[in-house]
Amino acid sequence: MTFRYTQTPMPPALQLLTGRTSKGRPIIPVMLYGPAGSLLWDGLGDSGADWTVFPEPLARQVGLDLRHAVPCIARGVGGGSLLVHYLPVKMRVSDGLEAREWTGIIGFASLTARYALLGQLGFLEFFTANFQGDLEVVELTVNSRYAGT
Amino acid sequence: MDEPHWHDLYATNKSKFTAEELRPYHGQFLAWSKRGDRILAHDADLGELVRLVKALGLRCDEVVFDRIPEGGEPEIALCQ
Repeated sequence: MTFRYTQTPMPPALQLLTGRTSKGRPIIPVMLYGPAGSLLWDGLGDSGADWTVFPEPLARQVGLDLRHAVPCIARGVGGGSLLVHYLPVKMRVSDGLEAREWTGIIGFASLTARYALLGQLGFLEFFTANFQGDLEVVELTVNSRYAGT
Repeated sequence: MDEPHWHDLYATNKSKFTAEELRPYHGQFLAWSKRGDRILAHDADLGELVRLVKALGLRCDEVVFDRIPEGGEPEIALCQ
């Protein structure tokens, strides 16, 4: 599966330094399934993130009961901490030509970021991810750990 | 079934929205068309937004959701 980067504005202070007005982000829409329904939500592929974390309101919306989730504190690169509730969730990703569906451990938290964070546990662990900085695309190929369809 | 290459179109079109154009949506959940060329509905409450999307006759897999934080999009989103 191939996902083209979504362009976002470069901060003005960095435009002089980089000579660019925009920067690409590997945004990958992910379908989340729960007992009450499903939602397609934008996620940011982040190979440096240990966890996969979605905004907490999504759990309520698809009917996932976080009272049965495992709580854990995650720490950001700036030192801030975040309470995350983890549980197994069914997900689906498609670029239109190929679709993959699996169940992985993902977390829900009060995120201040715009996108879900698609990190190692629950997401990237199941794929060989090729982030092509020059072409600004990310290719995902299922690996030996993938046990979905 | 997804349209072939739908994500290419989605990423390309969504990139055309400027920070200024998205400013009215700060603090809101958004429902984007899968072509990425339109914000079909928005609301501060995700449940209400889903109701709005369904009222448009759309399923939740026919739009893409995200949320723009209050104050706009942060530059760094890292988690360990």
